[in-house]
Order: sequence, then structure tokens, then C-alpha cells
Amino acid sequence: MRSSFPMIVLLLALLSILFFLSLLAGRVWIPPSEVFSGLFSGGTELSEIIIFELRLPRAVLAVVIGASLGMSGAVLQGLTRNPLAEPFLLGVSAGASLGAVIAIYFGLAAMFAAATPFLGIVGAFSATAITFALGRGGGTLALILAGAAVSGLGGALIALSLNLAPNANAAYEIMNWLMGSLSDRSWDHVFLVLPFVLIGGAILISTGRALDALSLGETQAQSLGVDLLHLRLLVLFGTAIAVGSATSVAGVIGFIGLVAPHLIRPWTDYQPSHVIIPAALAGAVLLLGADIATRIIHIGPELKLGVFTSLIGTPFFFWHVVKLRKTAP
Amino acid sequence: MFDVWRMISLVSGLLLMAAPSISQAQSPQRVMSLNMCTDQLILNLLPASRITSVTFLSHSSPNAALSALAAHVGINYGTAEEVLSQRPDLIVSGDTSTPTTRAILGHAGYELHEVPSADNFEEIREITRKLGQVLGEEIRAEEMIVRMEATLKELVETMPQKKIRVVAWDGGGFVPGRGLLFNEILSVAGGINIAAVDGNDYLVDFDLEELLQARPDLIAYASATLKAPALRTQALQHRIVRRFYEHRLITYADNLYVCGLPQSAEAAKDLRAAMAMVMESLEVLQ
Repeated sequence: MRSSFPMIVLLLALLSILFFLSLLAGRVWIPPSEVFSGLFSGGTELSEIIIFELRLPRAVLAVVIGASLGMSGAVLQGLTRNPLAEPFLLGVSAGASLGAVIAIYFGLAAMFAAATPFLGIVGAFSATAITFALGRGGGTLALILAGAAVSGLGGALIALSLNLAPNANAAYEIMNWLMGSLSDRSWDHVFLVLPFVLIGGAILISTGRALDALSLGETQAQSLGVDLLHLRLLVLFGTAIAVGSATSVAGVIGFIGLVAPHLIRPWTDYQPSHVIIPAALAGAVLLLGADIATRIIHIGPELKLGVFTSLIGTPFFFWHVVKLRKTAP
Repeated sequence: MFDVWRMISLVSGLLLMAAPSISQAQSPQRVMSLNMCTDQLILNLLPASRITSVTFLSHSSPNAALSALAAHVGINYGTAEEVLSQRPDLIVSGDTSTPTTRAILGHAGYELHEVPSADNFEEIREITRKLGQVLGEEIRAEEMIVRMEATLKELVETMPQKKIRVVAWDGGGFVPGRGLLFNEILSVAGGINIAAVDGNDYLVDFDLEELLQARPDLIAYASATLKAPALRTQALQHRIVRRFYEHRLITYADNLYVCGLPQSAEAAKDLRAAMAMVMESLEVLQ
């Protein structure tokens, strides 16, 4: 059995380096020495405020959201035994976006801040449930098609919400927001999303052993005592809570859930339970790296994070489709 | 394949048949406005009895004075079909909005007056005078310009020595730079737009780090945005904004900053008063 411990250590080291680099990246140049002082002081100097109040929560959000997306992708792939399963492609992100858009533009978010993640979770839960129900038993193609249909429905309902929104700026704002970003976030966003991601993450990790059994086949898993309905519900809740809350804060960020598990799987023993934690770390590394890239690539206004991850992730998706065609019977 | 030009020609033909004959010597009696900015001009230049319709935007405007004026006239959504049914003898529009309708109307020979956007007081004088001539309301247009000049003269004569550094930040990612009406109104009001530096023309990408670095005296926030829920209203809740700008925030009526009108001088006067009030309250706090 191949231990995933060295890979976890390597990913943690990489994450630490990127975390520090993330504190250096921004519109205002701050020397590394001042970055250290700003980290712990929370003081009144400009550099300290920028580090502590803007860049630090942004880096924490990138780690938390990247981890939740990577972990969700790993668990969804384990449950469906489908290499293309991930929150974005299964319509989970579209459902979460719809919930968040309704919360923002119909005044619920203004009444209580948790309305956005809460409706994001409700939207993600509904989308995941519909995708699973539609794609069940139809193999890879049916699941991806169900995800595309749910994404399409989510997109249409978002457009309808904007159409009916009382604010004239809604369409412009939300087009921008749907591109995904961690710019100008604060500790308030971290505190808003962290409890949900922790709960969702804990639920997803708890599915590891059942997913290991499921990798042998549904009948074998049931003979080993796995309650498949219970497992599906756990994955449904875990994914909806983790991805729904993450999307409500960062907008739509695609492909992290697809790429992260695939990147680390060759260095594991392929057991789903041994992929979940490394996939979470890989997701955090990928999203943090992507967020740094959006700040240092200057081609006009800041590149949106979701745009960047999609540009990087889509070739991977293409590669996987080609690979599936070669191996298809 | 759907042939757009054939469709335009067909609709144009219908409009041509329906177009009333317009006597150049007579002032237009059924004026239709297809643009929110021209709505405001014609509502101030003409009695309601000579206005066929203005856009739905003016009917639901957050500017109470404008929506009150618009309430007495008809409504349109800027479509060619509405021109057919409302049969105006003059259509007033912007030079960028409703391009399809303008193309069809031009093709059909309708009397169409396009008003370019005005981004400074010189351009406001020009468009107001020109529209006054087209509507046969030169005297009314001159009266509006005279009032504007009087307000501008008063503002110049009472210009505070210390300029207030302002940015029109609303968390939307972009702020007005050089060449926009906001800049003109702010400078007449006695402020300096900190985003209007060399190379920053029109809208400028601006984030919270830059806001902190630039340290403006005040943040100007569009008031219409505050009236309906949006992401931008949440931007004011950011802890950086609350910590440093909670008492340094002024709101402005953004419709007067989008459309260059003689009333923009009044907007500058209101802005100066708002800036002075906040700066005085800051002095008291300190």
C-alpha cells in the first residue's frame, strides 16, 4: 500500500510557500519584511492594514474554498465512480450561484449576512439532487449530461432573477461576480464561510470508508454493510454545504474539483478515502496559485479567478475526454 | 437564414407609410424621447401637452423631481413599434442608445434629433441650445443655460481654497477617471478626483488596496445604488470601509452625473454642500 503521507507533507510545504507569496501579491508593493510585521500586528500602518485586513483573509479564503472544491471533487468522483464528476460540471456551482443571486438581489443578504451562504447551500443541494436523480444508472455520459442540463437551468434561472431584480446594475454586477473572484474580501467573509466549509468537509471526510467499499461495486459495498442511500445523502449534504457556501463568497470557480483529485491520485493507492485529504490540499494549492497569478498577470483589469481556473482547467477536461474516447469500448 | 436587413427594410417601409408630414416652419407638437438623458431635457423644455412619451427609466427614476415630471406624459421602451403607434412628429434620442430603432427610423425618414452625451459644461451648453432650436424653445433653453451659468459663477466665486480629495468608489471595481462628467462636477464643486491622473481616462480599475494607499478625504457613493439591494451596497459593509470611511462618505444623485444637463450645476452645488458638511463634522470629531 502506498502511503499518502509524504505527498501530504509536500503539499503542505507548497501551500505554505504559496501562502506567503500570496501576501506579497497585490496592487501595492509591500517588502517581505513589512509583510511579516503586518501579519502579527494588525496595526495602523498602511502596509499592516493591507496585509492583515485584505491579503491575509484573501489567502485564507483561497485555501478554504480551494480545499472544499478539491475535496468535493474527490468524493463525487468516488461516489459516482466517474472521473469527470466535479461540482462545476455537475451543476452544483450553478445551483449555488442561483441561491446566492436570489439572496443578494431580493434583499435577503441585506437583512442577515448568512442568507447568501444559506441560499447558496439550498441551491447547491437542489442542483446536486436533480443531477444525481437524472444521471443515476446512465454511466459517465448521463451524469455529465444531467450536470449540463442542471447548469443550463441554473443559468436560465439566474438570468430570470436578474431580469426581475429591482437594481439596474444587477446584470453587470452579477456577470462580474459569476466570473469568480477573491478580490476585496475580508475577515467577515472568512467567518461567514468557514463554519459551513468545516461542517461540509467533516461530512465529506466521514464518507471515506464507505467510498472505499463502493469502489468494489454497489453489491459488494452493500454486502460489507454500506447503506448506499445514507452514503449518497451524506455526499449530497457535504458537497452542497461546502460548495454552496464557498460559491456564495467567491462566485463560480470551475475545474478545481476536477483537476485536484486527478493530479494527486497517481501518487496514492487509488483508494477514495486516501484521496480526499490530498485532494483538498491540492485544491487549496491550485486555487491559491491561481489567485496569485490573477494578481501578477497584468493585462488590464484584474483577471477574474474563475476565468483563470477555467482557462487552465478546460484543457485538462479536453485531455480527459480524449482519454475516455480511447478507452471506451 | 433570418435576414435582418430585409426585416429592417420592411419595418422601415411601414414606418415610412405611417410617417406624418412635418412642416419645418412649425414647432414639433408630438415629441418622443428614446433616451433617459434626453427625457430630462425635453421634460424641462416642453410642456407635457407637447410630449408624446419618455422612457420607462424616467418614470421609475429615483430622482423624485424627474419622475414627477414624467408621470404626466406617456411611456416608451425605445422600440420602433412604439413609434408607429405613438406617431410623434419629432423623435429625440441619444447618439448611442437604441441603435436598431434609430437605424430603422432614419431609414424611414422620420424626423430624428440625436443628442450626444455631454461630459462637461461646455458640451451641456451646446446640446441644450441645439435642442432648444430643434424644439422651437430657444428662449426656454437660454433661460436654463442662464440659470446654470449663474450657479457656476457663484460656485467659482465661493470656491474653497482647500481642495477635497475624492474618489467615486462603490466597490464595483471601476471608478470614474478623466473625461467623465463626474470629474467636471467634482472639480466645479471644489474637489479633486484622485483617480483622474494621466492615463486614467473614463472608467478606471480600482481596488481596496489602492483606496487605502490613495487615502482620499472622502468617498463619493452613487445614491441610486443604495436604494435597491446589490453587491455594491454590500461593499459599504467591508470592514476597511467601515473603519476608515464610515464618517467620510457622501452620496450623490448619480442620474445627474450620468446625463450632462443644465441641472448638473445644481448637482455641483449640492456636492459642495455635502462635502463641506462631512468635512466640518470630521473637524468636530477630531
